Amino acid sequence: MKNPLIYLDYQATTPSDKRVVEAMLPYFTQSFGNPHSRNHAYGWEAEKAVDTARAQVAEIIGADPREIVFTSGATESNNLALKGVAHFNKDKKNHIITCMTEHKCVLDTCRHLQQEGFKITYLPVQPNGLIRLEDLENAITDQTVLVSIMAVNNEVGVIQPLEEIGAICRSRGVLFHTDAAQAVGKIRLDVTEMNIDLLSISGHKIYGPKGIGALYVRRKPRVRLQALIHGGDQERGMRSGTLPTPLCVGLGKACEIAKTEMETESQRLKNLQNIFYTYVMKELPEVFLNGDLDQRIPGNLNLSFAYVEGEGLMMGIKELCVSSGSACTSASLEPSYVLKALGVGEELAHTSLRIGFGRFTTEAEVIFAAEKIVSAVRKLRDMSPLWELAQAGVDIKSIEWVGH
Amino acid sequence: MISESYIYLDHNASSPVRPQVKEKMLEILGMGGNSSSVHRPGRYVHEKVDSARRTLASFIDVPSDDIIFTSGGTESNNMALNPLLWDSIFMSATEHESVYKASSDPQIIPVSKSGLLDLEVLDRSLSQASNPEKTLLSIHWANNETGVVQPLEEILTIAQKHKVKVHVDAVQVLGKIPFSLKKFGVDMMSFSAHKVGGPQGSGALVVKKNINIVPLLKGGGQEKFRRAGTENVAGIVGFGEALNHVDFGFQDTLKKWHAQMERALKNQGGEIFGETVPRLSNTTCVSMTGIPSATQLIAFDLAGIAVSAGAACSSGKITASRIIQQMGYSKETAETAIRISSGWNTREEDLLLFQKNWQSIKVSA
Repeated sequence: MKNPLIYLDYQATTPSDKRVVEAMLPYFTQSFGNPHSRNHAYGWEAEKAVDTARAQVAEIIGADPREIVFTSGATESNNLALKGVAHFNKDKKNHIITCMTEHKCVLDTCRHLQQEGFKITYLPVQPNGLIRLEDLENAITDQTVLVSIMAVNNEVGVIQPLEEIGAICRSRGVLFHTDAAQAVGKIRLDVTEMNIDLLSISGHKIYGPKGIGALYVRRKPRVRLQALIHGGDQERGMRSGTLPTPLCVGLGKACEIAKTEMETESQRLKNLQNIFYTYVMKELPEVFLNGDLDQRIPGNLNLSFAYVEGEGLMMGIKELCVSSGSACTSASLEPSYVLKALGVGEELAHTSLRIGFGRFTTEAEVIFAAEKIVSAVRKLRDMSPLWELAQAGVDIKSIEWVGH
Repeated sequence: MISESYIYLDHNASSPVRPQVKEKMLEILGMGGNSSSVHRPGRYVHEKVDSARRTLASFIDVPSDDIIFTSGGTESNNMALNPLLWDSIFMSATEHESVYKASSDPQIIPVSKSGLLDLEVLDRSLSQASNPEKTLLSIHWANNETGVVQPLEEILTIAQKHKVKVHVDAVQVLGKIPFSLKKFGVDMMSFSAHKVGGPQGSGALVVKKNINIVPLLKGGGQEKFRRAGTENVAGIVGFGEALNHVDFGFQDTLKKWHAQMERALKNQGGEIFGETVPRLSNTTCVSMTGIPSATQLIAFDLAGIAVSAGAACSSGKITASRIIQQMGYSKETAETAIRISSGWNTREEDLLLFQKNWQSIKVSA
């Protein structure tokens, strides 16, 4: 791959930390056993490594290691949490509450459950991206089995009020699942204080490997769910299949590092976010931040640049790896449903960029990126007749377009 | 860390990753790039995934589009047997747990004492399938415990006669028996990377275009909307690379070594399961009358040899093999069976050492 490219897409994926890769290495070719082999040293070594990893994962969310189920990633964790709880309780309750800005894998799973006959409430969000707690309270009925609200949004980085949501769910006797793929290692999470019953974790969003994730499943009071993948009954029957030892070790190590470094890293990223945001807002008019600025992880900015064309902007900043929308859907030109739910108009949604800072982002890169974006936007606006009209004081929305 | 001299004869549980595979994976691991992102790192890893897909496609002779990468054999099997797809599911009595338990109400076709599927019962049972389009036959091509290889072509002829769909669990076959999937009337086939020298956590399901697969995992549009979730790029690349090192010639060598070992074990009173029928070159399942497999395994571990009793699943206790009992053996016999499975790094002296220890454990017990 040719350089220099500046990677600013840490919400799509992160490179594995070197320390993570180091920790994984012995489990490929030396202690390579099947961790479920109970009768020789290779199996025991692998099992021991998986146990350590399980404890490291539990630690970062304040859970007990026995509450951690390894999966192939957050998509599987979310599928397992939603379908698992829904199917296990289908004879008793049939209502699930989620929100409109959830990750696609939560929304798609909910749509699937809807086809099976479950009732789903999709809570709206406020313009700042956060749900209204009273909406949640009003949506809960005696048929509600589960509330699934993500901890941190993957596109706009806003942090939902988990503690308050957890308290409401607990007092109403409803299970609370949170997709924390974008939150682990970035904000403090405590499943006890926040009354979280199920929590999804991803490896590759926290400098661990792809292909591994976890689902936290509360033991006391016990959360029961129906498995999605059946077979050898690994992971206490909740998820069958040989555990990939090196990947488990990688996820564990990634959690350990994230926990140790979270405080200083957050400060550093906050500073980078500030530098970028202040510079761009000072240099350019008509730039809008999508999602709340304060209730937000420090490594994310989502900005809309009025009067430029999104694709054109992407072409003008080729050295920067940023995204418009989330990675899963970025190959499509559909405007983001997340921004739509925030009430961002189609025009502005089309010109939005998600800029993600992470562990390996330097101040020099951030300054370079900010300058690059500012000059690309200026250039595009200079060529834009709409910008010219707007500068001349014409209200673009008032123009009546005539088709030819 | 385990001593270098410890001998590993449990490849059917998990095979060590080949060094070349590890090299290729390392390059990917330290790199950003989500295979669905449109920027350069995203496209780079996307191309790596595509290249591994082409490697697997040409290895088994199917169009690349038919391959769905998964988290492993268990997920592949569960996807193929998804109850939303099928009204009824037929399977052999010796399926892997991940097939056996994926269906809540499977119809079981018995096997003979040699481990082969009873083709007459199969024929009769399938003739009663009321809706062949929604009927699935799932076949464990080669068994993980005994290595017994089913006569796939004969089974497929019967399945075609009754127009039912066929899924083949080929997890233990890949890299051991060469085949071209194009020539078979198979609708779906499951694979796992860590049984062929690739990494754990990576596998594939081949789905022919006539099957309208229902995704088990929903979400992003990865794998052409058939399997959501960010691709495990390093795992997929490792899977592809492992196939580049498959050596079918070495399987013949293993076959010779196993035959030699089996003769010696038999001379000492051991019974080889599935002895008279086609078996994988690398697998021997043998009983030692009167001595529980747990006792044998402890003795082998002390001697520095890793073998196993049955499959390496999760129960934590050694129980009598379901597979061997389904072949018509008593629980007592099943309780004395152990499995020796060799692989790419096995040497002739490893099997000879096993054989020597088997004899001395038997004599001293």
